[in-house]
Amino acid sequence: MSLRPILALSAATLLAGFALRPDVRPAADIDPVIFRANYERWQTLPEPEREALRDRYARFCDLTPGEQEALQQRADMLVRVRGTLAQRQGHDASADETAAELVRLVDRARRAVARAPGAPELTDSEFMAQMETRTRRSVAAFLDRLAGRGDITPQQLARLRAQTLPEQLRDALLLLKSEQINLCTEAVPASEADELMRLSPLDVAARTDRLRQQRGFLGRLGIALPLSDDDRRSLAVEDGAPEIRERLRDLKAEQLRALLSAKGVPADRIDALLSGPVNALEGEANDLLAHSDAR
Amino acid sequence: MNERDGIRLLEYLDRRLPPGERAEVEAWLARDPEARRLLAEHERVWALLGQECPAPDVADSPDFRARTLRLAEQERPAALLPFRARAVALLAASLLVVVVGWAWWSASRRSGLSESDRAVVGQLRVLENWDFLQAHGRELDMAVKAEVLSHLAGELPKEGPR
Repeated sequence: MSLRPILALSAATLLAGFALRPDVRPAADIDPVIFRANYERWQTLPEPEREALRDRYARFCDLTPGEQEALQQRADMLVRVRGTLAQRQGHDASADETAAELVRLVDRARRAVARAPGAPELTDSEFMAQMETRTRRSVAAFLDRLAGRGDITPQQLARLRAQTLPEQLRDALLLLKSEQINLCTEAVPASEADELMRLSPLDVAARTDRLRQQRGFLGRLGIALPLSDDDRRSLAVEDGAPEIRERLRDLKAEQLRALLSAKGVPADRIDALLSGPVNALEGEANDLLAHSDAR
Repeated sequence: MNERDGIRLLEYLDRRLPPGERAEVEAWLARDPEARRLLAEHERVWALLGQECPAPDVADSPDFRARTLRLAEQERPAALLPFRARAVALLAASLLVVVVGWAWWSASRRSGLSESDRAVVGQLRVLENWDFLQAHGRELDMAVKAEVLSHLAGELPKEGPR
């Protein structure tokens, strides 16, 4: 007797069983992938550790929504830093190694805060205040730009402005993710765009920066102004160099000006775009090229 | 005369004794009047039992066994499936039992997570790193802001000359 029907029947039954397998329901607002990983970890913990975590969760619940969001962002950053260190070192980072890497990141941020030559170095509190102010202003400017483009309504803008900074960061990053994925869908395969959807906003931002380095601007602008090999070499990352987007814009400034001018964009608008955020330049150029292609 | 003697006489009467023992009993009957009297009593009781419960009048049937087996074969219900199909069905049923059992076990294991534990599991990254997040909160906050600023670079209007 042939084994084929039996094997087919077994495989079908197992597949049906797996498909219908009752799954653990993730908590609300938690990425199901993260929840599943957390759940697998939870299964390995002895009861006393679980009890300690329940106590901590009670303390977490006593925090305000803004404080909770700040803790979650710290935890996400910690996971990212550990991941980067593990990739670089080839083994899991210890607490001391992680702490040292964080100090290095903060030092780099401190150096990036522009000061007039010869001015005294910022104290810790000055540096923190400046980072806070810059972040608030950048997020506010980003949200204003989205509202100006009609991507968010005035009501949404008002609600976002009323939030605490950690909550604003969370929502602004989600909006940035959405903006970048929209641009990516113009130039990358659908499977790649789908993969971006599953990543955290900061991971999407990091991924799109790598895409810019490899392919140039996101969206139709990248198709209109592709990178040459020489362009890629000059965009090679150097520690402490300006961010990839600004370097890309500076590298392609003349071609950008010529392209936008040929599409009928006034010179003062081109100046504004070339001195503004690259995200805005990519978005506006994308719309312009889309309308132009449609005609 | 004892019980054993009585049993021997009954066996003699039933013709169940081997020839040697039968000859011994006949010799004993010839010399013992008490034995003859007991045998006569047994014969009388036997005859009375034969009158009340006559033997059934059944004729010998040499093919009785063959006919019985044939009838039994005809009366057995026919199998719904051939043997191989039954083997496959049995295997499938076993597999189904295993899968259902596993699903039930898996569900019972997972449903062990209460609503409150589900919330704890959702925040496990925060809770497991609680002490580190508190001790290095400043650095982590700065790293978050620095990364956000790098992704929102250029959003701020350019500052004028100082």
